[in-house]
Amino acid sequence: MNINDKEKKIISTIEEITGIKIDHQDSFNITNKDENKKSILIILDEKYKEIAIVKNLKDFENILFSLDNKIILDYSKKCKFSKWLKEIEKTDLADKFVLIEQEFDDGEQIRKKMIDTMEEHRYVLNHNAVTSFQRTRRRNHIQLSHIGSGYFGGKARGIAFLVDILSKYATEDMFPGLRITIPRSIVLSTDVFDSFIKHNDLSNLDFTHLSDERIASKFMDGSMPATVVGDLRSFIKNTRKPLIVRSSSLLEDSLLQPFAGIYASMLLSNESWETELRFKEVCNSIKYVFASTYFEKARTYIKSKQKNIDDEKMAVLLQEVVGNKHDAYFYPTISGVAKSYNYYPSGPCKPEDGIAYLALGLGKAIVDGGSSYCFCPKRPKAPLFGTPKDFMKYSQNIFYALKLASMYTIANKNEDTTLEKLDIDIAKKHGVLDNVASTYFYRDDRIYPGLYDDGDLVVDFSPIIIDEVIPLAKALQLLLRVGELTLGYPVEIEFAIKFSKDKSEPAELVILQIRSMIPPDKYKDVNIVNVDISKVICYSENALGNGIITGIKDIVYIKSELFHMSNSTRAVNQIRKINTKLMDAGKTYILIGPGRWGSADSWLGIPVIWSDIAGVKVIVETPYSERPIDPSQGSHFFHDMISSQVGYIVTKKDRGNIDWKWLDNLKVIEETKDVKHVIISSEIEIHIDGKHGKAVIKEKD
Amino acid sequence: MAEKGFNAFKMAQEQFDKVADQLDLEEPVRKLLREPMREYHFLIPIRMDDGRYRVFKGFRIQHNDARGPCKGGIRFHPQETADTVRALSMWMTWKCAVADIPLGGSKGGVICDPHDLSEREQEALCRGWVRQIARDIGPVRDVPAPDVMTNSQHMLWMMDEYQAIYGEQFPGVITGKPVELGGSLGRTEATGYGLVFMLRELLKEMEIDITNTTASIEGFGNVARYAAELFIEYGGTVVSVSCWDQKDGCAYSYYREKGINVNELMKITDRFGTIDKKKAEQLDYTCRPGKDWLTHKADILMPNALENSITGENADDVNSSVKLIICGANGPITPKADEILEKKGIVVIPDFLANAGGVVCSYFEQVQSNQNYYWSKEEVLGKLDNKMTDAFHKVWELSKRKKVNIRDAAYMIAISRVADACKLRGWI
Repeated sequence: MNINDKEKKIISTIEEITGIKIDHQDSFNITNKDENKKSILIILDEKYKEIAIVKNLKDFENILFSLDNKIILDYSKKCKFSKWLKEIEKTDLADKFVLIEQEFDDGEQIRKKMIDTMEEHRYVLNHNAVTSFQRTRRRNHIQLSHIGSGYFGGKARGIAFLVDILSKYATEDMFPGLRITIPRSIVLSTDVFDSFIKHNDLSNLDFTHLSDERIASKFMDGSMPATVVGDLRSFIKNTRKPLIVRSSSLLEDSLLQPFAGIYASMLLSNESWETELRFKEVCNSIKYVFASTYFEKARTYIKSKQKNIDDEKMAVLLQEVVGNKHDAYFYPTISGVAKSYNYYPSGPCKPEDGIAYLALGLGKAIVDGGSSYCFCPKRPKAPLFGTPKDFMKYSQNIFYALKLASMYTIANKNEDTTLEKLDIDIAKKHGVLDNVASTYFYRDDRIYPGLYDDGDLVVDFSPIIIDEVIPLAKALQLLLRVGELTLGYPVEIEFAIKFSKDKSEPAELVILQIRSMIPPDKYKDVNIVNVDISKVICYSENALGNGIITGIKDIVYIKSELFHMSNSTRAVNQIRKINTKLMDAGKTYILIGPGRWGSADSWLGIPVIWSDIAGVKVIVETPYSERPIDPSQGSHFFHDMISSQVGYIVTKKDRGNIDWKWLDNLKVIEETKDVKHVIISSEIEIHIDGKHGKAVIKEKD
Repeated sequence: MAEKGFNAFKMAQEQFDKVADQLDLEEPVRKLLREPMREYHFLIPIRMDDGRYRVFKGFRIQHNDARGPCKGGIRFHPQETADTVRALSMWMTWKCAVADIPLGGSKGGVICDPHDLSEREQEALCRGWVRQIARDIGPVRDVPAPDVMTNSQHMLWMMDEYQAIYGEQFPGVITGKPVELGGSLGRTEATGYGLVFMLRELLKEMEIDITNTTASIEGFGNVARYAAELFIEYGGTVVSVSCWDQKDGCAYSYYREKGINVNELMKITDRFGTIDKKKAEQLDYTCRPGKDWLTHKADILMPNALENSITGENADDVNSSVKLIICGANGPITPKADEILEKKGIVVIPDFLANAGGVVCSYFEQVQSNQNYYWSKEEVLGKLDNKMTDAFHKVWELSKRKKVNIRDAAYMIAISRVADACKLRGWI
């Protein structure tokens, strides 16, 4: 889709969802200024006939879609694109195009790469969206500013992108009773990281032989660069809300590299009346996030992406935490994650309708794959669960809040010291359940709207979903669709909702993060209809991913007959060691085991983190209990899995099976207490039909 | 060095008189502020290494302490005069006041040349100085610091002697101590960094992008080096620095159009501050006469070496590209030169405002020492940045409002603050 078509589609989407007519000027117009430049690029065909005149970036992006591969290749090899970009003083773009022109020898590949680069350039911060941090003038409408002059990294770019979208299309009256915004944020750009490393003599440190704690200690001993301390201190002096210090690295959350959850984040209560103490805590947190660039988890992950640690540069995002103060706690009424593509659609909902998860309190409940409420933004009232009793069983009964009185910030135990798990009865005392809960009456086996003293509290968000006290579903739908259209890929959004204590004020839907989900390759159809199911190793009707995976000989699996979930944590170490050996040998493998892989709750599944299994190519989840919860929807783990294009196959007793006998007869490479590593003499093939959610694992013919 | 016939105290008084007129200060106030409140002149007898005795003249001049304990350096110099020290003590009062730190101004020293003294003799001199003045200095009275030809070791001997006399620990009696013994982190960089923090704010007000600016610096000592370092870190280009060549007995400036590299030059600079000419030329620096630092094509000039660097005689030689001058040294621009530069439309940040970073950090050291609790470097530099920024903006705002130049605005703020303090105390 070229730019004009895309813009039209965005406008019509907004009009369709909101019912409001948009009067748009040139949106996404990055090029009008370029018209004044004298340089034009004339495109000629093989017979030297003029086929296009390129005057600006907009024209350029359009012709990239339509030019013949041969012409693209010819012009690339003559560096005509990069030269023209230099002439119109788009030096950054020109430098990137030079690399593309040199690296690729296929016209189609070059085209795709150039289009991606142009997309990124347009996705990259709009300088109107991110202003330089100012101390002397209070500019309350400025939500996103920067300190430093380098790159902003993936998360910050995502926020800047949101600011751009919101400023272009969001109006006050678009969603009555709901204002869409971002949290007040400051980005410390990558040059601050570079300066920190340089001035504290950290560039020659051999991180591979140091533990994470030692690395953190060396970083914490350093001093923040003199170029930023003044601005930082000034910001802290004027900010009394809780803060979150997050990584925003170059490789993180870019279009193709998710890196979610790899680096550290630090939550700070920021409650002390002493500016110096708060300033010190923020500086230490920033240093800890810098240090996490070199932690083992990050190094392993980067290695698995065939990237170099030196490619990575860290910007840091300081954001105000969204929420309200309730006694000694701070939390938003609702946290949520919404995805524009749902890999587990149910009922009348299609994958393209997306899915959203809501939780009371801070978003840890969702990120770690705990209890949360899910619904389809396009069809919010379509039930996704069985009986009220079923829903009751799995609805949220605890929530996370930030402790304002936390005395210490211990960097590597940040969540333990700053977060507290609270019972929802406490939320009732705080008066925040009016818009999020109903009451279940056992005698009727029914859930009634409203809060009653007898009966059980049920966090079902029905005032929002059913009664639409705020038009959340529509707002999420809009954001997901526009995000997806703009990026060209399905997107995932993290958000929080805050209700004002003043009922006349609109609620705020605060978008915390937006990133792309790498979709199943929609252009490759995989057909397993003709595969003889009786002769396969594994068959599933619940699979994630798409494509045919070959070249695998190794299988690592949990010895399920003797395994008990109380040993799941023990199993992690054993798996990690085998993973490391296989990664060192350059081999990928299939991982098979019971329960929810990557779960934070060790009773629900094996609590691995991504770096423990970074070499895996396909994960097979076998039944352990009958609990029907979305497997591994813990956001970071799930996200990494999708973006690493790892196949995910769920087998259930009634809808799939696995040939354990065949597995047990394979040659054993290594066997530990809970885990077996076996190898097949031939090769394994995995076929995943993403469209129908089916998969088979079989020996290669 | 001072020109012949040049009287620093007279110049300081002239500057004061001008501003007192602008502020329409009452006569008693003028009289009180025009002179130092207290002066101590004393003799220090020292037994030399060869067994002979020598008697050195020492002094301490306290200009005004209405705003708080006095603060000022101790100089060892063979040609020191009482008038120079009086002027310096007065400038210290204004400096502390414009930076809005709760201190008064003082200055002192000994007439001597430390190059001619052994280490033991210097120690004896330092201890002797303290014995003479111990009753009149102290953490809540007058806090000395290093100055010309004194260093942290001298300060430590003095602190030790003071503590020996009073039998208690007083780390806050003196500043400029090494970090290991009560000094503040960030002190070394403070004057140079403070200069650049102020420059940064001025460029923002003038809507000039610092990354597109060039600077020519006089000097390559502590202030010049750190100023150059931070200016480059902010994206500016330093095209020239200068230094005294001990061997040739004259000054040279080292110019490189693409910009100097501080670390590179430091590697070829000896302990007296002389840059190796040959090695510099091998690194593509052009060696020119020292005075040429003034005439290079640059946006910014930073006189960071000596007083009377820009005078009525050479002010017209300042390159037409220069937009502003920020003074890291004390008294580098004479009043006559000030007038010429103002006519040329060049913005000047005066010394006592621009180089206040040093005394601000000294104040931080004093506070930390008195609490016996020491801050991290980023806390020191963060506070320094905020203090310098606030000071600049107050002066800038007054300068715009009253339509006066920055020097006058800075003096007006400083003198008003001291005058108000005297009145509030009921002195006048």
